[in-house]
Amino acid sequence: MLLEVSDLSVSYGEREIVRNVNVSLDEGEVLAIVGESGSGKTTVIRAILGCLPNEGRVSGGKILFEGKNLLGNIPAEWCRLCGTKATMVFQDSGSILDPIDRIGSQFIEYIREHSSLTKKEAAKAAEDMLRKMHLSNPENIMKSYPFELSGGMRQRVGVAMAMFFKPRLLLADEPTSALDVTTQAQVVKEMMEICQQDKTAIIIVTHNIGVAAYMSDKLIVMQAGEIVESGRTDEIIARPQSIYTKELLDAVPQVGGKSYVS
Amino acid sequence: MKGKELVHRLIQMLITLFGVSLLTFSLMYLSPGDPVEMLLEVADTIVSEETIAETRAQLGLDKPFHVQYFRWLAGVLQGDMGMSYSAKMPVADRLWQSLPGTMVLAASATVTMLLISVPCGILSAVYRNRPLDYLIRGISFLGVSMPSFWVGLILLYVLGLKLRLFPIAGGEVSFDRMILPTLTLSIAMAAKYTRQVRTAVLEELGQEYITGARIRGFPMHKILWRHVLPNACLPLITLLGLQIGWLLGGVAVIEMVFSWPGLGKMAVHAIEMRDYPLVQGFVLWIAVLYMGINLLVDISYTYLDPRLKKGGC
Ligand SMILES: Nc1ncnc2c1ncn2[C@@H]1O[C@H](COP(=O)(O)OP(=O)(O)OP(=O)(O)O)[C@@H](O)[C@H]1O
Ligand SMILES: [Mg+2]
Repeated sequence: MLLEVSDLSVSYGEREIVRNVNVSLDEGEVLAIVGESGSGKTTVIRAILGCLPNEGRVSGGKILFEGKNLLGNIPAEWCRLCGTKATMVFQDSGSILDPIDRIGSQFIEYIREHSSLTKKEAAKAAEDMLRKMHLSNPENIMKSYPFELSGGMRQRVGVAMAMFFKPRLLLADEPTSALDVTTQAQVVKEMMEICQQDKTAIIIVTHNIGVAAYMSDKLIVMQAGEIVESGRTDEIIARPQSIYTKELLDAVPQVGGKSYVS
Repeated sequence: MKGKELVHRLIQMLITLFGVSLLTFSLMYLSPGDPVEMLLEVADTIVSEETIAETRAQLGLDKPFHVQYFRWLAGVLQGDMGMSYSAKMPVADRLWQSLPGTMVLAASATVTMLLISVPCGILSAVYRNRPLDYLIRGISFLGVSMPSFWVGLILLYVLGLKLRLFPIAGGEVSFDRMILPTLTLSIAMAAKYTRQVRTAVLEELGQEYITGARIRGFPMHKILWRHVLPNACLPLITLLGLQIGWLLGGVAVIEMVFSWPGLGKMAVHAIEMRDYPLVQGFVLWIAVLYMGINLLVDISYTYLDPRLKKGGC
């Protein structure tokens, strides 16, 4: 088992936002988390990599990654884990980059933080990775500032950076919901391709149940900080158990239609 | 900043200078006290009405306000700021004499201030709401609440008079005489700037790109140096410009307290003596300096922030 989260609870200040969440994930598996806005999806995946906002803290449970409980991590251990073995893609990859530093400089800095490549080698490797994410003009992108790229380009850069070190686990928080439908489908497909090559396990948070159905092996449905349904994706979609899941599915008539994403 | 904007700014500066000079000229004209009497009083002799009238005519003070002002303005436009009544030399020369004292003091105060407040502000932000932060904030609160002339007097009394660590009487520009006034000025500025550094760093620490960098596995000290500080620099440069603006005024008071031979002391003396041309020259110079610093701040901004350089958002 790559990741095993058991009985996780997270609080912001005194308020317990997430309760008794259990997640388990094998090498190379894809898990989708769906649920209404405010149900705690972001909170769960942020808790896994120890990057809750200031007031947030894990108030109970265990997070085992490759058998080790992450909740006991000291900062140096987080640095060894994050960015190489486990990475994250955010809704807007532009906002998680330094706004006054060039993409290239940040990508190279990132590569060199976790490897012994020279600047030149790192630059070349970064460009290759961008090309792999179907960005046609990597030299230009390396020279650009985050604000100069379109939303789709930014997300591709975000995925390229997150996948550079072939992580074992990729956490993606609505990685495509800021994009138009066509670009959404492309970026999701490209991300899936790379992850399948590298056998990277994914947890993807999405509002789009079509995306979830298309890409995931397992599905978790959350409501108000708790899991209301979890299991194999095809089974849940064929035979939803909870009323809430049925409502979610009814709200998206395209569900069976994989055409939505392919 | 593009060429057109720069020309725009320069024109704005000229208009401001015109307004500033007109304002000081009016204030001096309206204020009680007569330069001629001041001048002749110093000579300590009984003077006749005729001598007074004569001197007044010599200085052009018998003319109506607008004639006096435009005469002065015409001179300035030709590069002549007139003669100082009290120093009996061209105003430009008198300013030039006092300039080094003030510049040296202002520069050393600014550097000392940065050396104190930047590290303290960063520590305060990084250790937010912990004992170190409370300590730094407490000290800076004290510093802000104490008027700087009072701090100067206390330092003079304790370090100069009681402990005899530093000379107390000024009079010339030298390193050991500079320490106390530098300290006084930098305490006042550092108290305020430390808070501003703290706020700017906290603001950056709350940004998403910090989370991003942590998720990419960077240790906190690298994130601070490589990303937080460069970003926090942007607002801090503007605030530094304002600090230096305050310094230009504050330095005058401190020069009086420590009897430091600079522009501030010269200006206070010039006002006492109703030395109109010298006061005018001083005010013009300070205004030019102030606006020059602000211009530099804005120009450096466009170089440091790519979003402005490339005309982005
Ligand atoms: N920094 C914070 N401080 C306090 N409460 C927060 C904070 N961030 C989120 N919350 C609360 O936690 C709950 C869950 O938020 P979360 O962002 O995990 O939801 P989500 O499922 O990701 O929603 P969305 O689909 O809108 O992204 C919400 O009720 C929100 O009010
Ligand atoms: Mg969310």
